[in-house]
Amino acid sequence: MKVDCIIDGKSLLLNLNSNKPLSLILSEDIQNPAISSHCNGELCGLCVVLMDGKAVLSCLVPAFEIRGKSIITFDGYAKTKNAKDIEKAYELMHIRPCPTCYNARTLLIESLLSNNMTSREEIIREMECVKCHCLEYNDMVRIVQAANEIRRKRHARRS
Amino acid sequence: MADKTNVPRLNMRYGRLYTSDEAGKKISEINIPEFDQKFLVMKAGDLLGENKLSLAGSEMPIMADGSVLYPEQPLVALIAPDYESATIAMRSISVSFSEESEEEEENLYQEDYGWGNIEDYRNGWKEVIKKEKTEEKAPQEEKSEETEHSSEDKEESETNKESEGENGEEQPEEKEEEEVIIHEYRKTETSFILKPVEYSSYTFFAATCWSEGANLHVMVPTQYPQFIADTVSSATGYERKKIVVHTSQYHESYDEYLLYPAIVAAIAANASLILKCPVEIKTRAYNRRGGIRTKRITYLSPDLKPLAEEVVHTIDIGAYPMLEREVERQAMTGIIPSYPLQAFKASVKIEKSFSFPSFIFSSMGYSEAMAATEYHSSALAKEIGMSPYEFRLWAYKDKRKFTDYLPAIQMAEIKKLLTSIAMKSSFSRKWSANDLGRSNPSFLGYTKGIGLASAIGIAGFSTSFVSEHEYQAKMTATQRGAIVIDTSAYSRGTAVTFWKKLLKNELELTSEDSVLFSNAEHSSLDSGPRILSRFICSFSKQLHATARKLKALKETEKLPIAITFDVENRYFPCEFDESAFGAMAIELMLPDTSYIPVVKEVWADYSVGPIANSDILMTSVKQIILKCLDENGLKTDKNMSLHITFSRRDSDSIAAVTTLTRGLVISSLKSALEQAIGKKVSLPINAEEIFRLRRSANES
Repeated sequence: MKVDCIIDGKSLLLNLNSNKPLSLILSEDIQNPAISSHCNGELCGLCVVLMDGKAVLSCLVPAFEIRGKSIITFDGYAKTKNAKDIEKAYELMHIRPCPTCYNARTLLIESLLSNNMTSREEIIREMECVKCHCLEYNDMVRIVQAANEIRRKRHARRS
Repeated sequence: MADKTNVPRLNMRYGRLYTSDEAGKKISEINIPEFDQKFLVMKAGDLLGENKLSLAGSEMPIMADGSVLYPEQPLVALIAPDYESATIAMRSISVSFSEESEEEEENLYQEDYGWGNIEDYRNGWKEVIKKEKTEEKAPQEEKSEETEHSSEDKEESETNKESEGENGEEQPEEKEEEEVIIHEYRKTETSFILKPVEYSSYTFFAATCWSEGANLHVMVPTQYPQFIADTVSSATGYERKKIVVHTSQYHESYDEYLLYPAIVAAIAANASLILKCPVEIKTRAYNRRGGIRTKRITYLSPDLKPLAEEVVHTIDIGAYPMLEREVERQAMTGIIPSYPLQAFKASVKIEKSFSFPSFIFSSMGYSEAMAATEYHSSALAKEIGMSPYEFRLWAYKDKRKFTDYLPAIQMAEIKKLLTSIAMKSSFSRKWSANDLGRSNPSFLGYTKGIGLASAIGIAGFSTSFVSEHEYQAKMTATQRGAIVIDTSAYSRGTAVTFWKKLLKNELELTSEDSVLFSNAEHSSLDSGPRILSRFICSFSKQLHATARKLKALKETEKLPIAITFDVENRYFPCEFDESAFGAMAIELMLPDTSYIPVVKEVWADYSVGPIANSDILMTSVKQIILKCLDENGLKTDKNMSLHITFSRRDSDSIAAVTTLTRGLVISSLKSALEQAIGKKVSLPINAEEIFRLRRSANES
């Protein structure tokens, strides 16, 4: 089937099997370097992408579902100003996720910030979907709250 | 070579590997249907070169040939125009096995080490008592009517007999009068079992090979580029110099990018040469730690001081023994306890099994062996009736015994760390309270446990390993006043900054920019596998020594001057040198409903050498602790906090705490779990096993 979608700001028309998961489309068809994981639906949480601004596990999204959607992978997101807010929060807290889950966690934090989910419970619930054990819960909360503060200040300066 | 490699995607073919879940079986038939010309099917016999991979003298086949000896061993490689068709075509391949492989699990290698005579303690101590003086004899003598004498008479007759004995007469009669009582030493025995741990990454890695002119390019995530080049060269028959290895980005959670990428790269290189086009094979990285068993007996004196100890440490190394002598040396270093002993006997046994070669899994055996020793110390403390903290302060002397494996180390630093950890965690109070809580079950619905461990850290390879293999680096002073370090070992940014500073001070250079480190890919020298961070740890010592030599030569010789030196330190009298000290306490809670142990708090104190970047070190220690807890089946509490402190000590070795942290976590975790459950456990643990242990405790 033919699927039209926007991936990292580029409009694409892809010829795909309708049930091919998005994670494989990104890594095999588009050669996206940010997605190197495919766990066959084991919910490893490492293949997070933003689909219309919401964090989703790309291994659970079949090809037919991406029709007409805007998908942002870490590769496209890393160049934005929003990514710099989160990067600054890592530096400020002196904590950094491991390279395995760095992309997924950063996109999850972005999803939390853009959806204004900054309470401790919400942060832990969302961040738990990444099955990498490189960060303790308190650190995750501190990073998200610091990133939220940085973004708030940036928006305040702009306005 | 540019840092960013442009992989040619035009005409690229993509491959998948067929691996078997079964192991230890003979292959009777591989059924491969006829594919069209776009596909390439490769088996062991289709490799252009030798079907072998060799690392430091040990060998194993790249693809299964005749029999499958470990799961995940590639049987067939299928190269197709795209991944999808390769995956679909792979489904039509089937393999049938005939019987069990003739090779059986065997005891491969054993090494013993020790001092003193352990037999003296095994057999007990003899006490020679003269018959008349013993209390037991008195009633017997009273019963005998024939020998009724007063005590004075007895003494007289005794002295008479003794004098006769001296004259050489009637000696046998005198022996009959003495009684030898054999007293057995009090013994404490522990059994430390670590079950195998398997790790298969969620992340795929790709091995990409292509030809460009006369060169064969290989791009793969690897911890050891030289090893990849050697393997590809022997598997393809291609000239070693014409193989260019590009390292792609990776993160090695469990050293999974050491062995498996070499196997995949060798297959991809063969396919690329056969098809004369770029080939990429994607698969998951895999690694495994075999099971480990430690049986240890300590003989105690009547005043409960440890006198002698015997240990049998068994390691399952997998289907193909790789670096087994080194694994033995690392394990032996961990087995020797820090408290003084009059006699010690340790045996390290290496066993083979039908499983993935498991010689490096974040540690080469030191962490697990050290964890067994520390666990035993805590068990010993319980036997004696002391808390593990008090026992360590009481048993450790000022200096540790000098052995072939570690030098005589001052123990004051460890005692300081122990005290600090015990204070921070209120260890003694919690330890006693938890013990009491378990013996008096209440309606709380949970039990708690706390464990403590302290140890010396080592890093990298042993002195013997280095003397057996020639790994080198080179320092050159150029005519332009620059210092160039040529090493194939990939050096991380933070460590390089520290070394540049070190050389600037030692050679009195104007700027750190005058020191240049060669790119690992360009190096003409082989500096050995960069694993376990001993390279980072001891390299500063080597740089120091070489810089001093260079400084002296600069005054007499003309530039350029080059000195080749060993990357590892072969100057030490012992196999290893201490790289750090550490102490750790873990507190956990075991709910009676879920039976999933939850870690509440972790305290860790380290005393280390120069810290290149404290944030990176802190993050990496946290990651090791969390990873190790997860690996052993524990959950972390949502409010859990890690209290980690580093203190600086006077040493040139850059902080290397990886293996130390792993050992401390395993040991303190096992002690804490056993306190909470009240039964002996083996790690990794799960809720079912805890439930079974609890039920058996209740029944008994």
